[in-house]
Amino acid sequence: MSISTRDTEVAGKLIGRRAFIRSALFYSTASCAVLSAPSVALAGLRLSNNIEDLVRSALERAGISPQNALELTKEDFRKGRIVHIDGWAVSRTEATLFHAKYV
Amino acid sequence: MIVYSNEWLRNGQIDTDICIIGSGPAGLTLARALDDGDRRIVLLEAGDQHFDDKIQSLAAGEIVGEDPGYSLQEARLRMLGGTSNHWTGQCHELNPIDFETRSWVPHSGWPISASDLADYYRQARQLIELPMLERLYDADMVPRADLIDNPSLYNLTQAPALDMDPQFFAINPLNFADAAMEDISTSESLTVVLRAPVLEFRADPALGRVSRAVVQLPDGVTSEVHAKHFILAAGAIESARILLTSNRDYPSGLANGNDLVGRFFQEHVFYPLGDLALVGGNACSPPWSGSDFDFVRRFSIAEKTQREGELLNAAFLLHSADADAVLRIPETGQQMLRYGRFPDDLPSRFLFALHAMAHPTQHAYCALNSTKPSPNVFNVQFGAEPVPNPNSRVTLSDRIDENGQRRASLDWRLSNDDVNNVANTVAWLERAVGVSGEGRIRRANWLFENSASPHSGSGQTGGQYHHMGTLRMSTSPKKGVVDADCRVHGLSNLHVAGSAVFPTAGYANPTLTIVALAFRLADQIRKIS
Repeated sequence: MSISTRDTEVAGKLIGRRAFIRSALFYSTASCAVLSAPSVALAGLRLSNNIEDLVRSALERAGISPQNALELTKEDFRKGRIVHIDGWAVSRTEATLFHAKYV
Repeated sequence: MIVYSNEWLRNGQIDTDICIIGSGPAGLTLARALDDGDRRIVLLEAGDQHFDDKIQSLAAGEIVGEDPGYSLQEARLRMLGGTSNHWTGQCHELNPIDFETRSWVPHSGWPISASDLADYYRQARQLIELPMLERLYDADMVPRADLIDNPSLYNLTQAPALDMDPQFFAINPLNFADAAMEDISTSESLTVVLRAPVLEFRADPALGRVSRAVVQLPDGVTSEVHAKHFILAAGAIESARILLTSNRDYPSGLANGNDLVGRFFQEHVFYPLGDLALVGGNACSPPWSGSDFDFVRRFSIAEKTQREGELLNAAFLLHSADADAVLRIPETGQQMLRYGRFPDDLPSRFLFALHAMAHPTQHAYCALNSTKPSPNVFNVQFGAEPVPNPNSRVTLSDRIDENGQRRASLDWRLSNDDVNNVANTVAWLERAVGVSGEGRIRRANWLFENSASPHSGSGQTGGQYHHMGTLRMSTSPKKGVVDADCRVHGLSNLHVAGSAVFPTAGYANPTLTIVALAFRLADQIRKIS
């Protein structure tokens, strides 16, 4: 299975971890400047709130509880059902949950 | 005492009990360990007590294979103390599995085991002034506390799917020459001869013994050192070169009847693997710390995982920031003072340091958002043992140095096994991290491309200055140059010290093992001399 996208935000949603986006922002801006800190912080907070909402609504639409999604995801990884999006290795369940809306 | 070759060797040949060639960590450790007053020991050092550009130029050579990111002139140091004048001081034992013959690692297997070296590793830690292994892994010690401070990282490493072993590399860049100076100055039986490069050995094939080492004096004439025992400790490249140039009594070179001298050259490489995003925790904690010593933390693949997945032994290095670049600033200044010139890689060091200035930004963000999960992405580097490869080798170049000797030519090669191992290890890590539920892995772009070599394919521009394997150890003369006692097959009085004898390299920095093997060799020499 292959999904093509350059949107790092989508990868962040698929991973469902707020840390990803904020850290990605840091790494992309790290070599630029100390001066960029305030804007990075604001962008990170804004994005993380959005992601949380998106993850919740996507799970609701699919009729999957967060706990079930986690178990399905772990099973995918255990069996090697992995999809790469922007380099991130995510489970097929994660990719499927978000595929319809964002890709 | 310390003497100069043009004074001490001028009046004809010298006779001694033990002649050691090379004053790096191996040579100096041996000299001090053997110097109990019962034997006359001569240690020949090609360089001077301090760095000298002209002498150093004799270390130049050709590189025809993989680009290690350094020149041979830069990578080796011709001065008292050898490469301990510029090493970073990271130390760890090889893992027990490194010594084993493994079906999935061609040419693997040492003729000795980890337990054979255990006591010598303790001596080596004592000499380098490192904390003992058990103390380093004490649950109350700072390294482990640092790990537990990051619960997500701790949970990840302890998850059954990963079962990774944290490895704490204690750091002390001991200058072996400085450490030995008092012993050398006060000894009546140890003579360190400076500016005494060995051109070749002369041997008696009928007796199977080396008779003398031919030494180049600064004014162009040569002299000879005769000894009952010779120990070659000139580094993996130079030691191979000296044996190959010693071709008057053996046309293919001394100890090279089976065409093994110089083969199986190995070097460590850290590949940029990508990123590790953790669920929680705090990537702001510095990777380097310690109350009374410095250390660097790596995570190794458990032996069980290696066996099941047929993976090479490897460790991962996690950087939360370019702290190492900051640490290199004082080191750069020290090197400029010592050598009187800029390091060759100054531009890249400058850029890394500049990049590291972003670190305070990350700290500030963490401090300002203490109620929120911190950014928790580590940059992951991956260092695997190289697969021993007979086609990766040191030979003699057609270029001649100022002493009329052929220079060394390095043809460093990685194999398909190295390429496949990178892919297999990354795939395992992605799955294991996902199963643990503690995070995700992002592959570096180069891992999506087909590369003939993981080294050039990754854009990785540097080896680790770890030269190993050119005179490998084996019980069989058809598979190795030295036997389990580091004695050259077929020559009763020539031994080799240093990483040249490593059959496999593990992922650990080699110096601690070099020093441990030197202590072990000192015991062997003591028994027979």
